[in-house]
Amino acid sequence: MCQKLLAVLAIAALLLSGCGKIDPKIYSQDGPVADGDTLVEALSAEPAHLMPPLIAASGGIDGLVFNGLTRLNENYDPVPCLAEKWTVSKDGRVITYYLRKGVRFQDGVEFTAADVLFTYQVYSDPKVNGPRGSYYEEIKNVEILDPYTVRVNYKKPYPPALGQTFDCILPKHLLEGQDINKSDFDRHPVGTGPYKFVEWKSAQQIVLEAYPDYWEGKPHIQKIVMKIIPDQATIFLDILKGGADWGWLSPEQYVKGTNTPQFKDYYNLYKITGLDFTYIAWNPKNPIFKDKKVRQAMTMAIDRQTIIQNVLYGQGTISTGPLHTWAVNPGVKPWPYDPAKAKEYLKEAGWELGPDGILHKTIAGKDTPFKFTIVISHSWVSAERVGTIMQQELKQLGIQMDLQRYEWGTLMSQYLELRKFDAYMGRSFMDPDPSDNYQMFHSSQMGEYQENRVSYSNPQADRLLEEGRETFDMKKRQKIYWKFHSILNDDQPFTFLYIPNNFLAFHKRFKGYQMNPNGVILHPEQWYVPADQQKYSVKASE
Amino acid sequence: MRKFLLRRLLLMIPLLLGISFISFVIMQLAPGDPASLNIGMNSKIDPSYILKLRQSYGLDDPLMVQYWHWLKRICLLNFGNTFRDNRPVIAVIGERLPATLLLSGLSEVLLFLVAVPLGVMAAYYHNRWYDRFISIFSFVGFSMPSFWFALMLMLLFGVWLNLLPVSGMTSTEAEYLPWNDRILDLISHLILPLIVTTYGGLASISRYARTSMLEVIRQDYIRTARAKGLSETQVIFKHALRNALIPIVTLMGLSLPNLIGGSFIIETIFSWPGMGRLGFESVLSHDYPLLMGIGVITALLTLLGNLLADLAYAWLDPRIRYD
Repeated sequence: MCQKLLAVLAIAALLLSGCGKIDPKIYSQDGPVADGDTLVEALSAEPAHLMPPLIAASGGIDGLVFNGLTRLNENYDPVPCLAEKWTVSKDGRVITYYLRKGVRFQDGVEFTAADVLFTYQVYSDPKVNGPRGSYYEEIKNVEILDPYTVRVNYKKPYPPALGQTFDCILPKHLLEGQDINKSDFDRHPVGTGPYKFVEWKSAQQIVLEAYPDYWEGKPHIQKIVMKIIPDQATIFLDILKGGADWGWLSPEQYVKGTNTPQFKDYYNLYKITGLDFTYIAWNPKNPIFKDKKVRQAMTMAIDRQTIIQNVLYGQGTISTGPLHTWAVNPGVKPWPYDPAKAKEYLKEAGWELGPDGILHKTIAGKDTPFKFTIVISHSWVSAERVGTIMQQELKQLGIQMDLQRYEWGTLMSQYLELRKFDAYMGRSFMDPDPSDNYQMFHSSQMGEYQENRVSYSNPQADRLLEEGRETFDMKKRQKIYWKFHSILNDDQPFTFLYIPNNFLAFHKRFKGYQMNPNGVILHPEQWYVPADQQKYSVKASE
Repeated sequence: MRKFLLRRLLLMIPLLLGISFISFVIMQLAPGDPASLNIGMNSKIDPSYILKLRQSYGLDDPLMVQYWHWLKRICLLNFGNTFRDNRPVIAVIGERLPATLLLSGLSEVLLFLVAVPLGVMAAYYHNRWYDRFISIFSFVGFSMPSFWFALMLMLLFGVWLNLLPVSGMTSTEAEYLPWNDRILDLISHLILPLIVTTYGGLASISRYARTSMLEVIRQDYIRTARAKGLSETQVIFKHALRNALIPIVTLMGLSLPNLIGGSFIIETIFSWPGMGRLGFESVLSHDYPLLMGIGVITALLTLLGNLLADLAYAWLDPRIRYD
């Protein structure tokens, strides 16, 4: 009976899989630009909000529905978008934007300078529970010169403004007078972007549709469905099955699961260097880590390449600092993995091996053994693996490290915010502009809830971080951040571990797109599927 | 009977108050701050943002004041707004409830339909190969991690055989289908989660059924029934089964909260938009109003389930009377 059942199943499978399938070879061919088809994206985390000022990081859905005055190109440089051009005054305190004419919001109302002013008012409103008010802090006021010209006056020059402010222009006519924190707009956003919002079924999907009157031309792909799939394994299975066209894979899935014809025939795979770095932060409030020499020794004692091999399946690069693209100083090389030299450094710093096999030093008249605790978030599997590797390596030098896991909220509020830790393992995202290092490393940012958790203070670094925020001259800025990079590398307030690779699977039938280094599609109105490769037949609604 | 019912219903009020109070306190005792959780690892966040959030969540008030506010609201059936997306708790639960009710309701029905006969048969063929086979079969289901079983099924039926979808409740193109195809589409999405949910629960119910059947089958009145010359079918299904089912009724009553609770693991793996995921996510993000909403509704259903089980007892077993 069992055999019969299997036979029936096998036949059914053959029949079902046989029909309606296109030979995958066709996907490798290009074809003429055509309208239609749907892109199904696997989204692992459902957004809480679609109202841009309430969202921590831009990109994703808001980038499809909204436009900014500027947008970032593939080098993260700001280029014109809703602003045709802009000028920066000589002293850097005034930016004048000249707006594009004839752009309409998805409900048909024209976009003008009033919307820019309104957007500023919303983002800087202290009553709005948004995380991004600080980007607008340096603005003194915004003036409307005429319906298509806006002047933004700054208290002092603020170069990140061009790339990081006014990135989602809100429609004044829909939002004026509303409570931004509770507005219905949060679940039905309207912007000037290439895709208009259609529906949001909680925990299921968010659907967008081509906006036919988009100012850069009607997008070719008719529909975008973001399918919410919380489990990483399910995302991969759904991709293998053809249920999702776009999805991020884990390093393990990339290494073990993508080298098959089923996968390669249908999907392009992109290996993308992340914009985030993983690090160990050393708290100088603990006298052990106050000593720069000790921090340098710690870095040399940790074999970052082995960590990348074991934790990321080899898919990552050693990080040298919190900077990317042009701000990275090519002269800064990662500290070598060199336990012998680490031992030497520790000796120079006054640490001697005791009879108990642990290093000792007399600090402030007290015999101190080299013992410390690293705190990590319990849900972060990689951190646990890194910790175990470190434990072994440090033990050989006579250092005893304990690993303590906490729930993320607890870790933040009871340990990190109160600066009650010896060391912690963290992960940070880099802004397109390196000026965000001010928050993490400037000595004015040490207070509670501020980001300089390792109380890093170096007057030279402070000055560089200030200068980097105040000049628009790219050459000067590069010099400034290169210098900052090498100072930071010498001080090692963090041991920078790695920058992980991310893996994007994207169905081969999609053509004509351009991505930035972080896997964001730059001109979503341009991608298309040739008519003979289209999978879904979709009609425009209404 | 009416008096009994009234008393039990009135008793539920202090019980619910107690439950809600204890949950409220325990929830807040759990370390972690919902406001700082909200920003996660992002380091470019205004420090004042966290303070603003705390204030808007009402977390700056003393615990007792917070509970009092919550209680006042709840008396007007206002469960408040979630922290996460600032929407009414009731609306958020209302969105998720149908998916879970559908899956767990069907699975509960299927469970009893399959498990009870299995248990009865096992008892009837006590210690024979059939009994052992059922034990092994149901215990395999019980001990197998459901996420692993789910993934294997997804791989087999979803990817290799390409028969069934692996995620969600509907297909991408479902809205263009005629209604009858939409139902088929829904069913195809239901099959795998249904199998996983049901198989895992078979063991306990079928064991209960087996034990209680074994007990009944040894009773004098069964011997009498056989001696009367009744057919075996009549003995088993009319005389034995009815009595053996009484403990099962309790189980059914107690499983009422499961109906809305949903399973986090199964819902996550199958991307099923249900209550299990909602509950688990709200625990992780310390979404107090949402957690309290789910908690109160679950508590209410548990109490109602108990009451229903008691009532069903009286109805099924003439020896039990509530006067």
